[in-house]
Parts: sequence; structure tokens; C-alpha cells
Amino acid sequence: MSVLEAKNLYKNFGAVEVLKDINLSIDEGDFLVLVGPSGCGKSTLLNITAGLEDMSAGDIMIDDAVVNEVPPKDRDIAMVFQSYALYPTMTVEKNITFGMKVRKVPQALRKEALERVAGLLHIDHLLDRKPSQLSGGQRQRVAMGRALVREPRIFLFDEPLSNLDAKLRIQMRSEIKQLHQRLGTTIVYVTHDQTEAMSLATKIAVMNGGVIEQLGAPQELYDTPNSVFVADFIGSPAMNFIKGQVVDVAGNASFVSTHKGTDVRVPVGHYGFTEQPVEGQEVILGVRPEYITSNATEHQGVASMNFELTPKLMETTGFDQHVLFDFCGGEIAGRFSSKIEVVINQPQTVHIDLSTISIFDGKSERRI
Amino acid sequence: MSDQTANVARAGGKRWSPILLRGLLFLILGLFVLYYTLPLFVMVVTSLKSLPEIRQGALLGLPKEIVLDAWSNAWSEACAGVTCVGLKPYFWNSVVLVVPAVIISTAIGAINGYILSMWQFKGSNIIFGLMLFGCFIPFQAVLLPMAITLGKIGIAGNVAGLVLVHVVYGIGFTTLFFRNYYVSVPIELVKAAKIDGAGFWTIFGSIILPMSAPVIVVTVIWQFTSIWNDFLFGVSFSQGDNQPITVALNNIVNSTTGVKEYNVDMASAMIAAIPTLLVYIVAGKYFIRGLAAGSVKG
Repeated sequence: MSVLEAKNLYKNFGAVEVLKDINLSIDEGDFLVLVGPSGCGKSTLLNITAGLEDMSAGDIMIDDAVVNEVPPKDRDIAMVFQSYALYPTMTVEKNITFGMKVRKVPQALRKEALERVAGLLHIDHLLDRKPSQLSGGQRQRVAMGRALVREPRIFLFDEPLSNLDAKLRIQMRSEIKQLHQRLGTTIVYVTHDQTEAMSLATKIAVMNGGVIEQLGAPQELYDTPNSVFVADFIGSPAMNFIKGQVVDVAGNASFVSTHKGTDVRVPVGHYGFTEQPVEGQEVILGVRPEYITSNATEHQGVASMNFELTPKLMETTGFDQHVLFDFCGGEIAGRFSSKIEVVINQPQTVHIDLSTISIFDGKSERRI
Repeated sequence: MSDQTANVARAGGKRWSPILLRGLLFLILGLFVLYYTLPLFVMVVTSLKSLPEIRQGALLGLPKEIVLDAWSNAWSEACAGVTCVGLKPYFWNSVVLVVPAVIISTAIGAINGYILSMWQFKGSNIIFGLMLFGCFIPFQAVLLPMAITLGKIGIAGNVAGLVLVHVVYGIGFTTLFFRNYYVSVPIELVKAAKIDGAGFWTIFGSIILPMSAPVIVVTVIWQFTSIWNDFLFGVSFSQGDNQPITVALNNIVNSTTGVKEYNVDMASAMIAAIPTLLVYIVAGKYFIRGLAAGSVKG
């Protein structure tokens, strides 16, 4: 039994298709993150789930019951908004208890729920303040308190951390994660930040242009992305893509490309193709930056190769450094140990570990 | 060399020009203050003078002796035509007219603005556009149709009719004020309240209306001033005992028996103007704040 399910969901605004045939389902305790660039339809999907917008076709089901016509208040959901949407003329206490007051929950129960949530979120001392007297992080907590107090079936978060500064964002992120672990609630969370998605989710849906490109566990998306879009969107710095062809598909398959006029031949016989490529098929080879290093001994993979390449840009992160090279008519980035001295424009040996690669069809950009 | 002199001149200019400019600014502002307060000053001093002193002709001079007779005369004795009851009954006519007209038009404007900004429906922008258009229809254009309508409903010539006229004419402005204020309020507030279980009226009453103090003040001042000061609707749609103060003022000033009592005329005009002055003095700072509020993020 799934807690929330979307079936063949469509949404049009006039002639514009915002959502196209969305299908997903989540179970009790799942933390689903909808992630994608702006305008991919993730917030619309969340609003439809909440009942704040109507779908054009399809069904939304909560606990296997179709709720298409059920108003938001009767869906047993709570929502945290990007702008927090705290009622500006009410104190924190009134903000948190407003919903219970509207639903005519007895005074004693209201007080009890307020105390429980205020303790949980450490906002006991703020109850008499107005939202304008709170800092960004405190407002965020109050907004979460307002959702938590309801003890809903599903929590909906609409980019709740985007208005916070970088440090606070990371802090609140881990608090949300802890809250989820402690309370075991079911959450649907919208963000455009892939780091947030990776660190919070038990399940990620990467959306693009109104469709779900891939739905799966964070590690699954990272290791075996379905498409170039997902591979590029998940992970930072992004995956490197090298264009070329597959040859010798009958025997020990190889990927070939040209670097500065000479042929580069990379063995990919160990790669588990999901569909058999044809001889000479145009493909895109994807390699994550952490598999492009300076040191051959770092990886003892199934297959690896060394190249003499010229660094053209170097960014240090403290822990390691991201080095950019021209390779096979494109650019690739590697992650070098910060102990290695990298000199711009001075050629050096670059080691590419091929044990964990992705291969996509050159035209459809789907994984093969 | 020439560069050097230019620099010196510039340095000198830097020191002196701000002071000069500031002086000029204050001079111009001072002239405007004088220009606008002079009529008020003349009215006040004239109303406090006795008739013989006025006849001596010193328009700007302070009264030798402050006489309040003109004010009491204007309030309860001055003659409009053959009825000599002063402005008092008409003052109350205006109060009885203005208070409900302001309250009703502001309330309707608030609800309209709330719907047009937060519960938009197909065609709501067209309706808003038409209401805006209503603000620009001149009074004269609606006189005749309005008279016929009032007659048909059966409230021609009494206060209820005049209240209706002002409410109808005011809705365009009040809707505009509230709608423009509410579009700057984040729509997420309504969404959050919907999820909390609140309906149309609960959201309006518990969340939106408590945030509306600045725009309510603006609207009330605007409506109070324009309805209190209205003459054309008053003179067209009221009769005899029901006339508002502006019409009565006109009648008093225009009925002369022998000597023109300028002091009584001035006192009458002051009495008619005082309520709007008071409203502006009391709520003026909220007026400015409210007008600016739309531009500041809530």
C-alpha cells in the first residue's frame, strides 16, 4: 500500500504542457525529493498533490483513495512554503495553533500539541513574538512547527531552504533529516538544489520539462543515471561527457574518439550495456570527476588508462582540487588530491579509471 | 596652470553650492507654504473680526478684538434663503450621509480587492479594468441616469439615495486601493490558510483584514474627503432638509440681505472644512505610509 500515488497525471496551462504523464508512488516513511531546473513542473506537482491546483487529467491518491476532488484541508497534509507564509499579524503561538483553532480542536489539546512542537523545534522562547521579529532560521522553524503540529499523513515542502544563507541552509537541512529519522514521517520535498536532494532523499525524482526523467534512490541515480540530463544534474562537479563511437561490439567492445588528431581507444568490454549497441554507434561516454585523478595507484579498477593532458584551469576546495583539461574536443574535469602540485599549461599524466562509467546513446541521450 | 585654476574653482564651488542650493530650496518651499496657507489665514482672521473692522479693509491684518459671534451665527442662525437655522442641521446631515457611505464603500472595496487579487477567476482582470474605468467617468455623465434609477427604486431626494450614489461611485476607487495593496501580499498566505482548513471568510477576517490597517486608513481618508466635499451629487439628489453641508454653505453665502457678512461666510466655510482637515491631521501620517506601503514588501 502506498501513501501517495500519482497516476498518469497531466497539467496544461492553456497550450503549455507543464506536466506530462507523471507516475510515481511512495511508501510510508519515504522522503521523496522532486528535483529539477526552474520551470520543470516540480512545484506544480507539489501544489496539485496539496490540492491547491487542479490537474488536467490523471489521479492523485492518498492511502489508495482518489483525492482529486478533496479540498486541501481534508487531505491530511501539511505544507511548508518557500516564503514560510507565516501569518504576519499573529504571534508564533497563534500561527502554530491557527489550523487547530479553525478545525475546532479543544483548547487543552491545542496547548499540548503546541508545547510538544515548540519543544521539538526549540522555539519555546519565541511563542509571543510576531514573525517580523524573527530571524530567517527562526521563521523556518515556526513554519515547520505549523506543519508538524498537525501530525499529517504527508508533509509537503516547497523549497523551504532557498531563502536561507548557505551555512544556515546546511544546518536546517540536517535538522530536517533528523526530524524525518526521528518521526518517520512521509515527506515530499521540492528543491532545485541537487546537493539537498542527495543528502535528504530516500527517493529522488529528477524532473525535466514536465516529465520524470528518473525515479530512484540517490545512489542509484548517481551511479546509473538514465540519461545525460540526470547524469549532468546529479553530482557536483558534474559528470564529464566525451563524444565518440563504440566499435568491436561483437568482441571486446571499445569506445573510440579523437584527441588532437590521434585516435583514443578506450576498452569498455566490462560495461554492462542495457541494450546491445550497433557497430560504430555514436555514443557519449560519461565519467565522474572523481575517477579522473593524478595517481594510478588510487584506483585498482577493472580498466584504466593514462593520458598526457594540459591543465587549463584549477579550482581548489581545500580537500581536493578540480582541474580542467581539454580532451577529445570537449572539456573534462578531474578531482586531484590537494597534495599534488598542478601547474597551469604544463602537461601532466592524468589517470582515468573506467570501472564506473556510463554510456549514453549519442542521439537520444538515454543510457544504453 | 589652467587645470589648476579649474580645480580651485571646483573646490570652491563644492563648498558653496550645496549651501546656496539648500537656501534656494527653502526659499521656494517657503513661498509655496505661504501661497497655500494665506487663504486659510485670511479665512480664519476674517471670521474672527467684527463687520465694522472688516469694512476698514485690512484683509491680512490680525483682528483688533477676537469676536466669536460670526461662528455661533454661522452654526445656528445664518439664513439660507428664508430658513435661518445656520449650518448645524446640515452638518449632521453630512455626518449621517458620510459615515455609512464611507463604511459601506470601504467594506465593499476591501472584499472586491481581496477577491480580485487572491481568488482570481476567469475574467477577473477584465472586471477590475472596468471598475477602474468607472473611476474616470465624470460626475456629470451619471447625473441623469442616476436620478432616474433613484426614482425607480424610490429613494430619490433622501439620505439613503445619496448614500447609494456615493457608494456606487466610490467602489471603483476603494476596489483599486485594496486590490493594489493585496497584490503585494504573498499568495502563499492564502494557500497556507487553505491547508490549515480556513475558508474564504475566515482567511479574510483572521489573516488578510488584520494586515490591512494602512490601506483602510488611506481609503477612509479618501472616501471621507471626497464624499464630505461633494457638492454636485448633494445639490442634485437631495432636497430641503436633507441637503449636505456643502449645499447649505453655498445657499448661505449666496443669500444676502443687505450687508454682506463676510465674517459669517468665512466661519461657515471653516465649519464645513474642519472635519476633512481634522481627518487629515489625525490620520495624515498613516495616509502617506499607506500610499507607500504598496511598494514595500510585506
